Amino acid sequence: MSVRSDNGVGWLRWQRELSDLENEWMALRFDLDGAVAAEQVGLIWHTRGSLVTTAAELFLRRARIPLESWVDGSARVCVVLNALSSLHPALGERLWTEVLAAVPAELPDVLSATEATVATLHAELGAPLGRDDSVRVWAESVQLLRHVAQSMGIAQSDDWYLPGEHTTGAGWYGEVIAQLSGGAAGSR
Amino acid sequence: MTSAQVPGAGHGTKVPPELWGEVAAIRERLAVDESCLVSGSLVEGLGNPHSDVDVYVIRPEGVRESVAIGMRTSRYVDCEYVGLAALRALGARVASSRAADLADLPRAELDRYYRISIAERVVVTDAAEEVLDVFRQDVACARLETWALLRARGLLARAATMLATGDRRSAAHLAREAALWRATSVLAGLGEGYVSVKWTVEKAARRLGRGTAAYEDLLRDVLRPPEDPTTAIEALRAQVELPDAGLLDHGLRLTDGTTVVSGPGHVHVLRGRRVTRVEGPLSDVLTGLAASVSWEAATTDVALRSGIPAGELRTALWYEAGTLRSEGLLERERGVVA
Repeated sequence: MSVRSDNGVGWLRWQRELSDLENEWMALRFDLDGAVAAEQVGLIWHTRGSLVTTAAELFLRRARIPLESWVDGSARVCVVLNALSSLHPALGERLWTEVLAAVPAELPDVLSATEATVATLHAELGAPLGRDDSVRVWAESVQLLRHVAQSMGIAQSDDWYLPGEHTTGAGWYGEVIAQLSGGAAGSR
Repeated sequence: MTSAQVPGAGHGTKVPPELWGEVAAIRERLAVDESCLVSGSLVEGLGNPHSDVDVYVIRPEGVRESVAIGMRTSRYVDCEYVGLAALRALGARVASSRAADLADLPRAELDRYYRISIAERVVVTDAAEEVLDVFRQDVACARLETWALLRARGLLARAATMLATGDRRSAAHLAREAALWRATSVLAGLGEGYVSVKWTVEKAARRLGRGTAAYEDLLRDVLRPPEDPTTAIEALRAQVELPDAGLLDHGLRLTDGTTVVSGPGHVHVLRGRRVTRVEGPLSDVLTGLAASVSWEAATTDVALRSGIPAGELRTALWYEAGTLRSEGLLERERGVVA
């Protein structure tokens, strides 16, 4: 069991960083699933590499490990993986190997290597496994963030979410969860 | 006002049928002085069954930009609310930019320019139409061809610097990124202007044919890069040459009021209440700048000690100093032509 108390504004800033990363992970899961469905090898491999970086950064941010700043996405990979390597040398080495790996020549090998990478990120870094799980984690994160901000009296926009054509009036969170396999019970 | 029917109603739209209702719903909510465009990878012809759709709602002057997202079963919808004045400025900036301007152009701006240039127009006011006509796909491709080449050269320089400092994994990664952006530049010259680099391999497949000799030759160092980053960097030096070496060779100086405190292997750069720690070759250069040594002399000295070509080091440090530049700690040397 652990207990941690935070200054409210600092917590909001941290939680916002996590939500942004969970949003990024979710978008990458859509990218990956779409690329696999369309057999777009280049997009599969590029997304696989991006998943490694995003999962590593999420892991470090959750653990409140401070990270150096970076000038662009290319530098981000170096900063994040080097930071992880300082903390967990063996895991960092594995993930660097994943990122630098050549693209297999045959599609089945691309798919199996990608599946293995995602499984590693789930097992070692706690990253969500499937697309539904990714959406659920993101939605719960945003809900928590908005709830805390509201309780602190911080004004928020309600226009950030686009309701669907057939919105049920259940609110954004209800609408998002209802679209997942199994709804609130959900499959992971 | 010109008003196309909802995408899909016989106009050869690339928006999937399951999204026509989405676009129609956004269109229904438009005010009379607002315009609506649809863009993204689906409109570009690259997208897949889970690609998102990008909707732009263009609002009159003085409106704060914002983004809304909507999750759907198999994809999501992004709706960006942009001001007409901001678009007008973006269009003019990209259309009139010369090679010397492009290194400082943020990727997000070039990306938006291209997406607007290929967008399907759902509803467009007369005022917006005049602005949108500045957004041209051929211009976007030409700008990306140069921008991507500059980026490749910058990444090559940064890879060489990483190698010199002993960080072989970062060097290998940055060299591969340089190869990716070089391929992006070549493809832009062939009319493939979609900026997002995650699509580069698929653009090559579309333009050159997946698995063909031309495809393999263009993407060799992206798909199967050399294990030794030294080999990768040497190959890139021959492939990534700028029309003008001075395009990425800019002098920098400390801004007034900025000071540098040196420590072993690092420096702290101070300005007001801001403290920034810097390690590596840039810290040695900053120590020189603080001692009133010129950027050229300081970087040449560091280059000699590390075995990197001086021009390459200066290019790498220009990029590495990006955070310091954006925080107002470093600025271009005055009177130096970029």
